[in-house]
Amino acid sequence: MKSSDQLLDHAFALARRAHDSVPSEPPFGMETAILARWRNSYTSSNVDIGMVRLFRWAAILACVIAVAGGIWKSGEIAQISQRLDPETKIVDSALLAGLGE
Amino acid sequence: MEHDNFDEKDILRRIERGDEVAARDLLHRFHPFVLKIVRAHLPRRISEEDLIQMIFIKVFHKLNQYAGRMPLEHWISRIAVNTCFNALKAEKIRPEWRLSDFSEQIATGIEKLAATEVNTATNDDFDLAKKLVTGLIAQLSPEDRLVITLLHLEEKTVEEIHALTGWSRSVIKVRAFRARAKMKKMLNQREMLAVA
Repeated sequence: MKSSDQLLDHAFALARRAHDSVPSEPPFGMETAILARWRNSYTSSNVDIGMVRLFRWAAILACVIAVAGGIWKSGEIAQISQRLDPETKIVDSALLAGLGE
Repeated sequence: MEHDNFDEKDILRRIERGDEVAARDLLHRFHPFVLKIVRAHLPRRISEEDLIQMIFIKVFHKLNQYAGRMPLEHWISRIAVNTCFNALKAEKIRPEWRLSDFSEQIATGIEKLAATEVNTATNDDFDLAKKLVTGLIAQLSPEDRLVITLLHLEEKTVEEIHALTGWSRSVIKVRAFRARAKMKKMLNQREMLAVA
């Protein structure tokens, strides 16, 4: 009589040779459902990608405008810093002196 | 899998562009392959079709992550095995092992199988052996079940199982050893009952 170990190996060897009929095509309902899900996700992911691209370009454009605006108005900005009132100038110089110690 | 005129790269490119015919071709191409995996690892409480549907939905959803580093077939099999494993894990309650779970036909068939030679066995013997093995495997934990099926029924190597599951080689070996011991114990119970 075969031991459990041998019987197990034997059963595995026989089971591996069992013929399993596999249909060549997926059932129609299943195919339709899978493709419908894929179509939906494809459309929505395309919309998402479009939105990401739009936001990316909008962010780049905003940065460019900010930098260009800064350069264009750099003279005026420099003048504003020159036009500080006396009290602010005193505080400013006191702060700078304090930092220097 | 047969190597006919299925151009994998072309199909993937077309799917990326939203070509439904290409998506259908991919589905038709891999359906028999996925079906075999599902049948080998099928949980009790979920239908074959539902599981295949889940797997293909995942495949299409993750297709943009496929880097082409391994054959598409391997990549799909990895998704299929992991989906089956997760479905098995979701089955929290496994029935207790009972000899009565085996039909009388199978119980008497065990003795017949023991005396059957592989070379002279008939299709009925193969089917009977499959039922016996499937019955035993069904009693194991999802992890043990996966390892035993891959190792002994699909004849995968430890390395291949490691690639499919991500488990370490030593874990796979230990799990296989313990699972096999459990199966032997079940068979011994059968022998004890036969003696009684």
